[in-house]
Amino acid sequence: MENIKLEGTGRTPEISFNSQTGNLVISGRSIPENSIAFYQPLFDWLDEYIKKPSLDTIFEFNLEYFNTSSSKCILDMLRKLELLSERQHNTSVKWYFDEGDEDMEESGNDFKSLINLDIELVMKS
Amino acid sequence: MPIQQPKDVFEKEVQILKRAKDLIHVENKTMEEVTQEYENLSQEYEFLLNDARVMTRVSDRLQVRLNRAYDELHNTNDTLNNTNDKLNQANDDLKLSTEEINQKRIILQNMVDELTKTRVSKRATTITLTAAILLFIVTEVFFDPIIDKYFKNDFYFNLILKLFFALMLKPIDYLVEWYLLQDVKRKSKQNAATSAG
Repeated sequence: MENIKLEGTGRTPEISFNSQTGNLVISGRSIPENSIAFYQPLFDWLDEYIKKPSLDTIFEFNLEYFNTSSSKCILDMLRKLELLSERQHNTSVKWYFDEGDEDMEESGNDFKSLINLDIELVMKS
Repeated sequence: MPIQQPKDVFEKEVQILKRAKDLIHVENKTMEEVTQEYENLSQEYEFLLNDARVMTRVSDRLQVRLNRAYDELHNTNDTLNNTNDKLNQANDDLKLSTEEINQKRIILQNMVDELTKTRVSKRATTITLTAAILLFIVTEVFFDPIIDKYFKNDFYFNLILKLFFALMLKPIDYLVEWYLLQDVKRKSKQNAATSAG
């Protein structure tokens, strides 16, 4: 299974999905004009990954800003990870936010309230 | 990874709705199957409702953040415009000052020129007067014996000759002044060239 490595742009986040280490990272700004066109390959990758996951899976969100359709895509990805957790695989999520950025911290809390996963809110130093 | 056509972000929800609509027209379903479908639909609806709540909250929060950023941008833009106005004003003031300095420089240059001309004129007059005195002495010493000898001490000839010398003083004064001015100009040019070099 191929890993995904995408450079970030002014509108799309940097992506680093590694199936061997189980380390999945999304960072930067997510305001693509067509969110599903950007996230669909990631959904497909996750569907494949869930079939044969790494021993530990850590999904890190280090987002600066995202639009509404991206928030739906984030929810869908977290739902796919929920499936992994339900199959007794070690799955954890880290939601990073800047010190004093209450908006991003609250957004992390909102996702946490909705998703049955171990979502850790991490303040960046 | 297989390449798929991009779909809607609500593709899954659209499929659930389609399935629910299709079920209305299916006649040979048992009560148990219908109940199961209803349960599934209720669960999906609950998911969708929860998603909608979270997405609305997140979206509103990010909208506020965007508005804040817009306000900051607006304020920064105002500050930039004010700074630009001040810079333009300062630039206009500087232009006026430069023009004033240029005018004063021209006046000063004219004064210096006049002063130089006056000095040169005085020097030329001094030289001319000295030359006149020398000429008078030379005339008295050398020309008078010759005039006595050849013109029998002719009073009118003597007068005309002295008048001629007297009339020649002004052109000589003018020529000396012209020469000295040219000399001053040449020296000024040389000094300017040396300073620039």
